[in-house]
Amino acid sequence: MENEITVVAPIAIDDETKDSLTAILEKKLGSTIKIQFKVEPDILGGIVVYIGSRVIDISFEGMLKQINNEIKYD
Amino acid sequence: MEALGIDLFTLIVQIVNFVILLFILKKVLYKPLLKAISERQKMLTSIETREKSIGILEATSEQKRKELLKSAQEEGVNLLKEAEFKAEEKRKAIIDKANIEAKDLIKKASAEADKIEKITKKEMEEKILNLSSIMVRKILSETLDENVKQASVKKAVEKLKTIRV
Repeated sequence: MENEITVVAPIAIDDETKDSLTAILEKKLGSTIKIQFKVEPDILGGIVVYIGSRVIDISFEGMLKQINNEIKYD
Repeated sequence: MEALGIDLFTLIVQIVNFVILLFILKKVLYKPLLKAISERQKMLTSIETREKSIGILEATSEQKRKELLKSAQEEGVNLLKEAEFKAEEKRKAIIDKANIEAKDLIKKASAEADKIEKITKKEMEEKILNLSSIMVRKILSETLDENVKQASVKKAVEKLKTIRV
């Protein structure tokens, strides 16, 4: 079963990075994948990976949100 | 006697007349008069007795009135003292109750103030945090150039290697 994967970045990702990203995800998922790339300047830096219903947030915006929550519920 | 101009017959008639008059007076006037005097005397005695009785009654009544007045005054003083004592007790009870209520109110107000302070502090912290986040986002969006963003993407890809998918 092929996963629906989307990667969001603040700028257009270069081909080298795209290939590297595809290789990493294929290795982790154990199958051939097709990634849809999107640009969202609001995430400021890093990337957000959507694999089906799962979200892997390695963006600056995600980090800010995490820090915000840690301070808020400390 | 005749030399003195006194007629013996006339004298005897006069004496008889006097005796008859005396007899008639005794029968007709003297007895009723004595009876009336006696009755009047009895009446006076009765009045005196009644006056004495009234005097005694009045004295007794006056004594009783004085005793009653004294008793009423004492009772009045006692009632006044009792009323003053009760009023003092009530006053103390009201003051005690008011003190308890005041302490309770102060406690509640203090608790409310603490609650408001905590809420306000929390709100302030959230506002400061939100403002700080906005400022950081604004600074980052204005200072991060293309190279830094590209570098951040590469670093994120490297980090993805260590994350379990």
